[in-house]
Amino acid sequence: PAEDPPPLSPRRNVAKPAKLRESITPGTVLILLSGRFRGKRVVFLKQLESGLLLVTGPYKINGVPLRRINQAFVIATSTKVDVSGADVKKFNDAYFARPKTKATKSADGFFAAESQKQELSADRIADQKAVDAKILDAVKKVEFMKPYLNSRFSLSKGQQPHAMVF
Amino acid sequence: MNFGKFIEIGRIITVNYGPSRGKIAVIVDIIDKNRCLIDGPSGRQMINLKRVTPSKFKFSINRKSSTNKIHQLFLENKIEKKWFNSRWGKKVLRVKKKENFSDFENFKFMIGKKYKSNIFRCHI
Repeated sequence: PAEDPPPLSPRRNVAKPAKLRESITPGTVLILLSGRFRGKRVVFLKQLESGLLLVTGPYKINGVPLRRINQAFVIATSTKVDVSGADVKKFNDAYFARPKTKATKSADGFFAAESQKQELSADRIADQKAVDAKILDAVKKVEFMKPYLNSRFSLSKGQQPHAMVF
Repeated sequence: MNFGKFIEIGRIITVNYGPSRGKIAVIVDIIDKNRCLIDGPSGRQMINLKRVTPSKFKFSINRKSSTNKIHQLFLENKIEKKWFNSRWGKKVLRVKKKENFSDFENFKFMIGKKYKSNIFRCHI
């Protein structure tokens, strides 16, 4: 070639954390759309630095612990719970990071029959209880909020999600 | 058989189909057997009588009345208030309210239905 191709410029765009939807504020009841807890209605606490949403069931009501959720897999309802009493400052992405397991390179390791069951640390349980205590107080004040959070969302025939009011 | 709700000038009708669906309008003029001229929130338009249901309300207007005049008479006769106080009008409001229920309100409605049917069952 007569001219050398121009050198590739270094990638300068860094992916920013997802912008939080206006409909999602602390205390909003969200409907989870995918994952283990799909259909469950949970309470939104805050957005973490990575852009993921921190939610809690509360655990006593519907079995959803403090968990990270992607905003894309969530429907925000217009219902709000008062979460001002709950202290969520200590929770960040590092808190939820999975502990790194040593990669086994042998053939046996690949077809590992046993997987180590992760023990739930007492800290996690204590944190869950601390956060949920204030939220449960607020939930008790609203009639039917507890059975509402306990119920699962599902679509029946004729319902069109794009036309529904949440 | 006694008919009471006639298609006549000044009759209040509900529009059942089209962009003005669910709204009420006044019959201003009758074009032919199938069509009439109405005046309402979406302005003055020709509409097929198949898309329309007459109500029991009417007020006297002249055939050549302008939109402004009709609107003034509409307010004077308090048609909107009468309409939303009637059984039909109340039903329209109720249906609209149910359509706009939030997810939580729908849940409470479901609980209410179960409660009500339970009471009926206990009484049979």
